[in-house]
Amino acid sequence: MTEDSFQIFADECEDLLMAAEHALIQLEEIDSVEGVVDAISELFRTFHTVKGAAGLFGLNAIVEFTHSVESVLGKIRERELDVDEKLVSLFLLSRDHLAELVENSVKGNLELDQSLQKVDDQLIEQLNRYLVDTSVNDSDHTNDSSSNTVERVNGGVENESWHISLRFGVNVLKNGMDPISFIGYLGKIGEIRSVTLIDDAIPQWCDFDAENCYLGFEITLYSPDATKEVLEEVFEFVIDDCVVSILPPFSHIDGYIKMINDLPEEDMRLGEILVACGALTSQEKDGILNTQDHISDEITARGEPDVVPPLGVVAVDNMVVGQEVVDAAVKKQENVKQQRSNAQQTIRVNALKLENLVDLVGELVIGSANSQLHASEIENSELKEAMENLLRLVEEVRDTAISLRMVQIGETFNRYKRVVREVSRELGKDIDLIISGAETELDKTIIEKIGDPLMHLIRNAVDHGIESPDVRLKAGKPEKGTVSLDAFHESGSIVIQIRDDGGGLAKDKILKKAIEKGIVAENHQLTDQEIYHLIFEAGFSTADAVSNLSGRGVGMDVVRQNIESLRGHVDIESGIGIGSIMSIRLPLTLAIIDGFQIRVGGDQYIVPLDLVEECIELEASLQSENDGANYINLRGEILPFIKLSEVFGTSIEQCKKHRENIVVVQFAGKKAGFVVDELLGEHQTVIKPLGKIFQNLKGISGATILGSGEVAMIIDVPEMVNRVINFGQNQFSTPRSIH
Amino acid sequence: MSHLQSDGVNEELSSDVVEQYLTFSLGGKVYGLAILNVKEIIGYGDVTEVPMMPDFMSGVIDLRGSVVPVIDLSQRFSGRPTEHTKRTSIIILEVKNEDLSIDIGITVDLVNEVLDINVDQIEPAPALGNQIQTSFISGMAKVNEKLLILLNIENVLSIDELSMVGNF
Amino acid sequence: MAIKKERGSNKSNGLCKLSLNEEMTIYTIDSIKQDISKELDFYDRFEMNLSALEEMDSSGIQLLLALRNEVLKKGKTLKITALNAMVSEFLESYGISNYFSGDDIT
Repeated sequence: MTEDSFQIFADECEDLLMAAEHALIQLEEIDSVEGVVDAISELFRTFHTVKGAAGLFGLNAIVEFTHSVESVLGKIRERELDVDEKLVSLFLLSRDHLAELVENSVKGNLELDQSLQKVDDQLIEQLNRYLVDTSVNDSDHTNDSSSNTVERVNGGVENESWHISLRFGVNVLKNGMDPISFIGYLGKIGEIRSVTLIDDAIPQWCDFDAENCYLGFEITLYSPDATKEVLEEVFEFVIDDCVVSILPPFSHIDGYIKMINDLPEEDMRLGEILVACGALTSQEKDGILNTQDHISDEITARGEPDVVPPLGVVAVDNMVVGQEVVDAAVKKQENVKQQRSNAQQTIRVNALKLENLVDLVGELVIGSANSQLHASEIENSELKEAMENLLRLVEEVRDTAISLRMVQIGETFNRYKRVVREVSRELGKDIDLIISGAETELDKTIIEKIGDPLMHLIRNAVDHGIESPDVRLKAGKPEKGTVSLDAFHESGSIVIQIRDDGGGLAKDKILKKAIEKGIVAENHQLTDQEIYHLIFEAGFSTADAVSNLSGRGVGMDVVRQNIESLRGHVDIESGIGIGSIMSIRLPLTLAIIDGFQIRVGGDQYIVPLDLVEECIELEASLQSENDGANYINLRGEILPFIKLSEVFGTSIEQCKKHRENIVVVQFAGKKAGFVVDELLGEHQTVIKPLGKIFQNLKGISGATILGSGEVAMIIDVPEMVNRVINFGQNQFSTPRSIH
Repeated sequence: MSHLQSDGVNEELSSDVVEQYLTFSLGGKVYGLAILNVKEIIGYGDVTEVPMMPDFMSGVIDLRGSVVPVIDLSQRFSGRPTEHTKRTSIIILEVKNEDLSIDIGITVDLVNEVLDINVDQIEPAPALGNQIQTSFISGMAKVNEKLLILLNIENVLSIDELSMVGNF
Repeated sequence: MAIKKERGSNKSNGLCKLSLNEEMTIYTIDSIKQDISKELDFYDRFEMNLSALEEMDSSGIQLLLALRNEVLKKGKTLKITALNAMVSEFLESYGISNYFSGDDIT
C-alpha cells in the first residue's frame, strides 16, 4: 500500500471517528426509540467502514477491535441491548482508543506496544461483557426466529431457504478477494441448493479487463439455524462495494419486490431466475410481474409516457405491504439522497494549496493596486474604466478566496459538548452546554488556534463558574447549570461568547489575590474590567485543576496570549450570583482587509476600514485639554483622541500649517479619535505579518505593501482605543530621534 | 575552490577545511559572516520605519512581497547610526529560531568580497577589549594583514532578544 | 505461453484446439486473452483442454464466459473437451457446469 493511500485511509478514519464522537454525544439527547436505533445504525455503519478499510490494509488489530464495537452496536440495533450512560462512555473510550490505533499504524507500527495493548485488552473485555450478558437471550431469540421461520407469515413466500443475491463490485478482484471464496464459505454455513451465475455485466471480448470483476450470483442456501447477522458477516469486507441482498426463508414477498427493484437486470428475467433457482414459485413470480405489466400496459394504453410504478407502489396497492411502511421507506430514501447530495457538495482540498491560492490572491490585490496607481496618472477615461472594472473583479476574487478559508465554527463547538459532559461528571456537577451560532463562519486558521483557548475558558466555566448542585439549590437556582456558547458577527469582528449562570467573578477576592501575588500594587485604583482581567495575568492562577483532557495545565495567561496573537480581545462581564460572560472578539480574517490609508509624519499607515466611523478636521476650537489627554466635543459626545505623531514619535509637522485630521474609530462600543497628518483614502490591503521580532509591538498589528512598493503599518485599533480610554495609564514611548 | 591568498606568503596549513565568509565594512572595521546565512544583498532604499521600536531597528522593507525587518548594525554595535552613502547596502540573512528560519536584513557601509578562510586561521575572540559584545564574535581571522571579525549571527540577531523590544 | 495451440488445429476446417497450462488466474488472464485474441478471427470451432490447469480463480471463469459470449455472438462454437477434478469442481460451484458441456452449444 502506498504512502498516499495510507494517508487517505488515515484522513478518512479521522473524519469517520469525529463523526462517531459527535453522534455518540448526541445519542443521549435523542428521545424516541426509533431515533436511537437510527443513530445506532449510523454508528454501526461508521465503525463498519473503518473496519473494512483497515482490513484492506491488513491492520488486524484495528479490524478486531472495531469488530467488538460493531458487535455491541449490532446488539443494540437488534434491540437486544439498551443504551445507557455507561455504555455511551464505553463507546467514547473505544472511539478514542480506535483513533490511537489508527495513529499508531500511520506511524508505521503494525504491532501494539504494551500500554496500547493493555488498553485494547481492557476495552475489549468490557465490550465483550455486553455480548455475553445477552447471549442467553440470544439463543432464546434464535429459537424464536427459527420457530418463526417454520411458521409462515401472511404474505410470505414458500421458499424455505435463504436467498442471497450478490452483484460483486468491479474492484473486488483488485482488492484481493475472490467471489468463489464467499460461495465456499456459504457452503460451510448451510447447504447450497442452487447457484445461478449472472454474467450480464461481462463486457465484450475486446473490452474485457482481466482485473475487473463482472460477476453476480443468485444463491439458494438452506440453513435453518443461520441468522441474517451471520450471513451478513460473510460479506462484511465487500458489502460496501457490492450489492448484497439477503432474504430469509419465508420472507415477505416485498423483500423480493425490493430486491428485484434494486437489481440492474430486467424484472422479468430476474423473476425467471428466481423461479429457476427455487426462490419463488411461478405463481409468486407471476403475481408480482403481472401487476407490474398490467399497470404499465394501462399506462401505455392511456398514452402516458412509459412510467411503470416502482414495485414498491405495486406492492402497496396489492395490500402486500402497508402504505406507512412504504412512505417511511421512501422518506428514508429521500433523506439519504439529500444527505448524499449535501455531502457531495464538499471537496477535500489540500490546505497548502488553499494557502497558496490566498497568497496569490493577495499578490493580485497588491498588483492591481499598483496598476491603478500608475493608470491614474494617465489621463484616459477608457483606461480608468477598465481599471475600475478590474479592481471590482479583483475584489470579488479576493472575497471568494477568503470565503474558501471560512469554516463553520459549529464543528469546534460540538467538540466541547464532550468536554462539558466529562468534566462536569468528574466534578459531580450537572451542566448543560447550549450551543448557538454554529453556522457562523471563521477563517480556518483562527478556528484552529482558538480551539484550545476556548476549551480552557469553557473548562473554567464548568470548574469555577458553575457551583455544585447543592450550592445552586440553596441559592434558589436550578440544580442544572448552563454554559452557553455563542458565535456571531458584530461590526467587522467575530464574537464568541461563553456564558455561564454560575456564581460570577468575585471582584474583591480577585483583587486580593492579585495584590497578594504582587501583580498589582495595594492602592492602585482599578476599574471593574481591569480587575476581571487580572485573572489573565501570568502567575495569577493557582494550580488550575489539570484535567485529563487538556493535561497541559494551560494557564489563563497563555489563553490571553493565544487570543491576542490572533489580534483578538477578551471582554468580561459578571454579576455575583448571576454568572459571567466572556466575549472573545476576533478579526474576521487574517489575510486581507479593507483599509483607510493615512499619513503621519513621513510614514503611511492603514486603519482597518470597518472600524472607521468618520473623518473630521481637527479645529483648534474643538479641542479641550484635560489631564494631558485630549477631548473634543463631537456633536454633543465626548470623543477622546490621541495624536499618532506623538505616539509614534515621529516629528510633528510644524512648517505646513495644514489642518490635522481626526479619524474617528469605533471598537466594542467605544469610540476614539486618531489625529493624523493626512487622509489618503480607501485602500485594499493584504496583511503581511511583521514577524516574530515584532510580536510584542503594541499598537501595530501588521504591515502591508502599498502599490508603490512602500510598506505601511496597520494600526491595531482595539489596542489604540484602549490606550486612549485608559488615559490614566498613559505610557507613550519617548519620541525617537529621526535619521 | 580558490586558494587562500595572503601577500605572497604561502603558509603551510594542516587542515583542508575551508569556510566561506562574506566580508563587509562597518564603521571602519571589517567583519565576516558565514556565507551559509546570507540570502541576498540589496542596495539601501525604501526602508519604512516601524514606530515605537528602538533605534537600531531601521524599519522594514518589502522583499518580493515579504516584509523583512532591517537592523542598523552600526547602531546596534556602537550606538552610532549608519551614515547612508551610495554604497550602503543591506545584507539579507536567514537566521534560525527554533524550527523556523527568519529573514532579517542588516545595513552595512560596504560589502566586500567572499573569502575562503581555513579553519586553522580562525582564532577565538579575546575575552576583553572588544568593541562589541564578545558573544557577537565567533572568532577572529587574519587575512591580508587585516583583522577580520567573524560574527556569530545568531547572537547578533538573536530573535529572542530582538522580540523582547516593543514591550510596554 | 499460458496457452498453446495444439496440432490438429486446422485453418481449413476451422477447428482450433487450445490447451491451457497450469494457471488461469488474474495473473495470467491478460496474456491468455491476448493469445486467444490472435486466433479468434481465423477459426470457427474452439476446443479447450483444461486438464493441465492447476490453478484457477474467478478471473479465469470470467474469461471463459467472455469468450463464450464472443463465440456465440459470432455464431461460432466453444467446447471444453477435457477437464480435471479441480476445474470441474470450480465450474460446479459456480453453477456453470452445463455451460460448457461436451455437446456443442447453440
